[in-house]
Amino acid sequence: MNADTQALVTIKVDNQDYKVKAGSNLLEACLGLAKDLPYFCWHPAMGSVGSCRQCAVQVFADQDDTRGRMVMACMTPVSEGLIVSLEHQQAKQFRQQCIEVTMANHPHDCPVCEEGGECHLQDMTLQSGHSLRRYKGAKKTYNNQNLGPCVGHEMNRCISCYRCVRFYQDYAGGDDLVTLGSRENVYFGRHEDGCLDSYFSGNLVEVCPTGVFYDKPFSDSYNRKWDLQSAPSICGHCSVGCNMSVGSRQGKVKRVTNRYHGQVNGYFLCDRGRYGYSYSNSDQRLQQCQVTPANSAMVTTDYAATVDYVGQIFTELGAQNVLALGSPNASLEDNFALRSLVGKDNFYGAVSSNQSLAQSRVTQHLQRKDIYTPSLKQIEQADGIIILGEDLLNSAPRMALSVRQASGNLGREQAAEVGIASWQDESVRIHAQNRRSPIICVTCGGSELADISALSLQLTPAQITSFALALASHLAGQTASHGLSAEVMQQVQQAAELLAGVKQPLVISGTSTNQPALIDAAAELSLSLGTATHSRAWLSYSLSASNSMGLSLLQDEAQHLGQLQARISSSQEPLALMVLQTDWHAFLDPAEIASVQPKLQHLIVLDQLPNNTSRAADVVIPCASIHESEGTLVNHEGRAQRYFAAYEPANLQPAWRSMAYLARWLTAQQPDVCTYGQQALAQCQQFDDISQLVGQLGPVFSRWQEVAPTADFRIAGMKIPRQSHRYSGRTSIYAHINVSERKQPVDQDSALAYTMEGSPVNPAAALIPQVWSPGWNSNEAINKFQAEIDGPLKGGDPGIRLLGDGDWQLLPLTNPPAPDKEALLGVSQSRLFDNEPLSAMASALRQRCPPAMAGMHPDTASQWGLQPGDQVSVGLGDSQWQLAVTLDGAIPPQIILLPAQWHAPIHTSRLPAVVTVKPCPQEAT
Amino acid sequence: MLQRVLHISYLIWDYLYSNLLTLWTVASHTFSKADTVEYPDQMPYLAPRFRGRIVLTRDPSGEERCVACNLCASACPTDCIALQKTEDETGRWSAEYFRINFSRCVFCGLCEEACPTYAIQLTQDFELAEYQRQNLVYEKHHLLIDGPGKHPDYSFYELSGKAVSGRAKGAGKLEAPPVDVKSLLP
Amino acid sequence: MHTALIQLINVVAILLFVVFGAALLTWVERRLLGIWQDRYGPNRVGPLGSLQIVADMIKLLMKQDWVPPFADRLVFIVAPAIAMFVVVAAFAVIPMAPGIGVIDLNIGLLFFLAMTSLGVYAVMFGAYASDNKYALLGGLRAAAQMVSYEVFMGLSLMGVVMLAGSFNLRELVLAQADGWFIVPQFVGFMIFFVAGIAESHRTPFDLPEAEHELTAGFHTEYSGMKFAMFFLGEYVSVLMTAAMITVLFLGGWLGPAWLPPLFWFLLKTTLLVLSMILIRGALPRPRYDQLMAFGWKVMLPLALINLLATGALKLM
Repeated sequence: MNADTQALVTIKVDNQDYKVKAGSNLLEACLGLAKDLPYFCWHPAMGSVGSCRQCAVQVFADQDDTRGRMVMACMTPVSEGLIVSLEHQQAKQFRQQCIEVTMANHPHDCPVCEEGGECHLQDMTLQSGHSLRRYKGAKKTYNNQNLGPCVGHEMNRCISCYRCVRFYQDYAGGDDLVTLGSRENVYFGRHEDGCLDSYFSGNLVEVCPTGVFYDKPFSDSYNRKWDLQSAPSICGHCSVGCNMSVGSRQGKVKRVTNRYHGQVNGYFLCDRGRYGYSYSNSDQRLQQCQVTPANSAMVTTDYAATVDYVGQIFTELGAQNVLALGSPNASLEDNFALRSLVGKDNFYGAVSSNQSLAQSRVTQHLQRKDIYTPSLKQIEQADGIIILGEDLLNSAPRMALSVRQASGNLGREQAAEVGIASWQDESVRIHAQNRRSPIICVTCGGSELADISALSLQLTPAQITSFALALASHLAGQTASHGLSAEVMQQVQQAAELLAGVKQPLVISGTSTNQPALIDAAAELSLSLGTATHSRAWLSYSLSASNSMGLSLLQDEAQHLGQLQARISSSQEPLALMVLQTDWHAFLDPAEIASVQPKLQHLIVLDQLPNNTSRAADVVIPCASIHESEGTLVNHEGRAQRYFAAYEPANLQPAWRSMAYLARWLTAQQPDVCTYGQQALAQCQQFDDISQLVGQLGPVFSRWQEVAPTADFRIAGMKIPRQSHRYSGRTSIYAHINVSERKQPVDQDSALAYTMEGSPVNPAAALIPQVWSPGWNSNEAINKFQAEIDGPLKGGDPGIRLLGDGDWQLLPLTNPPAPDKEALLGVSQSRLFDNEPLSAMASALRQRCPPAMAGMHPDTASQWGLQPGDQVSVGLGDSQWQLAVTLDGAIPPQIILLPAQWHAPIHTSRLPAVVTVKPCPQEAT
Repeated sequence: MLQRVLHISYLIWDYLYSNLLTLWTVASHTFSKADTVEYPDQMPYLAPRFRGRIVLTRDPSGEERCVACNLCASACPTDCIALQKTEDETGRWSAEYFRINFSRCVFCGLCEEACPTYAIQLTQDFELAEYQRQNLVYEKHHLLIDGPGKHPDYSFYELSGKAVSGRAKGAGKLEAPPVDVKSLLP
Repeated sequence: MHTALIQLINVVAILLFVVFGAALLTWVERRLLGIWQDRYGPNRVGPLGSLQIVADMIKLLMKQDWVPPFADRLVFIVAPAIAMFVVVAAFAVIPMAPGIGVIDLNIGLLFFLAMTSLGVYAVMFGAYASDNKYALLGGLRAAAQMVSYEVFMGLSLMGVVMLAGSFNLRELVLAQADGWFIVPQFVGFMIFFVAGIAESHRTPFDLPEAEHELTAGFHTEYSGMKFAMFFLGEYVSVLMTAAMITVLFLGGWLGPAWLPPLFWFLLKTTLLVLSMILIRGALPRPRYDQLMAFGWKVMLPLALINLLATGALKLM
């Protein structure tokens, strides 16, 4: 649907005619016309409830009517010929009085409020014209609660707009933040102190129009919004690729806020994305190059000397003996630079063989003509969803939030039938009661979406694949059991019935179970569903890392970790390995490390943080983090999105630049043996140079130039400022070091500048450092940036979808070997806060990690004689992992669920696999 | 013709008269007293609102008034104030560092106007010259004084509604006791 | 031998008098401007600040002898020398008192006019050599201004010459024994006074160095001793104009015999200098077009009428 095809109606606002979209409400229409109309409780994603009485306008019966009547704009649908006045004295006075009453109890604490300076209440108070508190009585106070490490609570500031609980309960499905008390004593909090459970709790900070909920880690070293040097960025912590705005000051990331993208994240982020940045500020960050020559001690040195050293390695071993390991966490440009340096044949991806295969199948499916991959915004329009094998809330939480919105589609549809508009939030909910669009979760080891699922099944990974195929056959009118029990087949039948009346079905699967066959089965199911419901087949995959898709576009499917290990082990010549932003050793068990060690003469690590691999390396080259560099990530739907540096790190280079140095060294020192890739890389001075090379890679990258404007983009001859026009402290922030001011760093790589000069409002949606508009200091200013309210940004949502058409064939089913008596099938269990190495560094998130426990069915446990809390030793190959046991009847039998912590002794990429389980002897206490 | 000549003559006289009057007026100042105040031999009169060296004051209970709200820094036209917020264990905000680069300061007083807690104040002291420009960078311990300066009775946290420095919610001025959520009484 | 020695002493004394007089004038002017503007002026170095000139001199001497890299080096250095030379040379013909004076030329007045006209070269060279837009504009103005004012400056003096029948300055002074020429030649006096101020680029005719629009005009790029020479040149030129007016219109050294002639000469000169400082302290600077219009449309016709009238009277 777009604005062209939708009916327009004419309304008269303050004696001027406008055409607006039919079916919207008046507030939305006025904001869309760039009018300033105050509001609190309305939210573009959450609709209207009409509780704050702030958006009052005067509506007139006809041209002769001069008195009119007052209505709440957010509760009034637009209609042809509607005459309305925002400026009418009565409406203005009413809005002002409303705010005056609201402010009567609002505390006088703006100077010590984290929201000050980006406060919607401040903006709206100013907009309505209220300036003097006439009421002289005492102000109400409330006791605060400790809501955990991420969100702070200061209830005094509450204006009872109910946005927090509407988001937390109705939108995000949380149940531990509630409205307590009665009358004017309402209290928004938990029943008792404690951490907010929802993975989306951080959004309360942005949803709350005042400072009741504030960002706790940000508050620890707080700066005002106008003092943050911000840049548009992309979340690097999962494959969804949410857009975010990174605020920094004095070379530290201070906070992350949502950056609106009409198709991807909309207005909300998950807590991993919002709070996962603190690794970038860590004291442990690699700051200097480290070189350890043979038989001598490690020395720290500079880039030039290191490049010289690594160049010697190339010369010494021959370029054909230098291998490289690219990372699904690093940008496309960084991976491409590495591939150019060593050649395609020597470039491996840091993914297991199953992952690699699964990933390449995903890429193929997304390129097919007969299957469509919806964006998150489109997922919200599906009215029947089946999730296969993914614990979505843990592996792609923002996608799970979209699935939750989709579950309300049945309610909205039924409400529409009785004439209730979809933005009438409360009415829609009351009308819908418990009726939901069918969501079917088929997972292994729990799904937190169970509360909205019409059917929730727990099966082993192989059974999930069979389930998908069986359901596909069933929908096609055939009966094939694919080795499933009668009981499960009954559930197949049930699932088919649930999906029968669906208009737009969607299949969601992913790579976290490491089952390539499941990827194909999901595609098969989506095709059958499409045929059965006469709709387009919608299919979405959640992937393992932020740039899994990008890496798979660069890397050959067969060039995975297992292949790399085999190549090293079988090599006759000494080898060197360059590892890009991957803890390679975490994928290997001790025996494997020992077997590759003698062949590897050199291990060169390019990384941000020290890890076991970097400790074993003889060359360590530090890299700039995602907040300090520019790059492109390709998300789960194949959308290439550009992130930009929020600040310039003191002496760190992005990985691609280190490799360009190296290529320049090689072309200068040994021009005759240089490859074409090295020569091309050697020419790269600026980001745009290497980005252009990526654009030449093939037809997939044909629209590459549209990802984001290049570094020569200007508005009125000026770059776009990262700092606000109020940015303070320029002449004193570093004055204690030297009273002479520093020159601002020059950003040659992008169209953003590290200054205050230039226009904060710009036509390039990919280059919005932070949203601000005159009179709109909070994130609500986004309505000035949207082409239509809740629609795409002006100039089009940033990023482009890369994938086009391709062909495929179904993979045969492979059943993992049946476990013997001493063993169980180990299956990894997704965890939001510690299965990604970078965000796991964030202390606020670490505190929220549940304890690592091995999950089992009670029957399975009793076979081993295990009680809840008993310690077991889980073994795979040479690795041993000691864990406490927790029992859950929902877990399929003969399975042990292992937490997918990134630093676990048994890396998640090696699962599912048969693991040995030995109860540990009870310690005598 | 005559009229024209007369007019021109008048103009000439007018211009001459104007210039001569100017010369006479200036010359007559030979005998008037100089307005110069011979500082430093003689201290000039400084008005109470004179804008000299900037200080950070304390509230009546002796605690720092500055809550690190950053308003002074954002008001500063030369951007010569930089500070960082920190918080003590009782929830009281204060500046981790507070730096004024007096070599950039123009003593406009906008910081004092912007300050919501009367913490930052301009004083009568204008003798700030240094031989090293670096010495004009004042840190928090240089700026902080022991007294409240102007507005001796004002204490921001008494009115903020926040529970800080061990004071419970509702114990400040113009504050009602905390709402009892469990009460259903009208 | 004796005559030569006296002549040498004469020359050295006058040179010193001119240079130190000009230097002292810088202090006198600042003090006087201060007094007229209700300030003190420089009053801290030495008694009443009189050693300020010494301080200034030390400062200027100690400064780096800087020639901008983009300047025309030779011309840049020569320009201030010309400025100093022409005014000092012009001073040579001024008779201060009987027996005091460097040289007694038959055509002393013409020599004076010739030397002052040469002064424009200093300004133009300095402006050209600086390779600076302010300097160039200042130089253009100076050239135009000096050419314009030179014309009626010469014409205004011809009345005096007609009355005395000589170009010799001593004879001109002696011709005033019966009455100073300021009385018959009042218009000539006024015109010459104005032109003299313009010749020495002083307010209100200091447009070549108008600091509000041209930074410092033709000497923007100058500093140290080279600047000092321009600066001093201007003050010598003030002294010279004052001395010339004294000689031509105020009867030179003539005066009651109870004081020596030199005193009368110095007294008249000093009063004229003071009046020029007063004019600087009081009158605003005109626009450049006003300055040119005033020169060509008012002063030149006046000078011509004055000349015609004097000639007619002389013939009658």
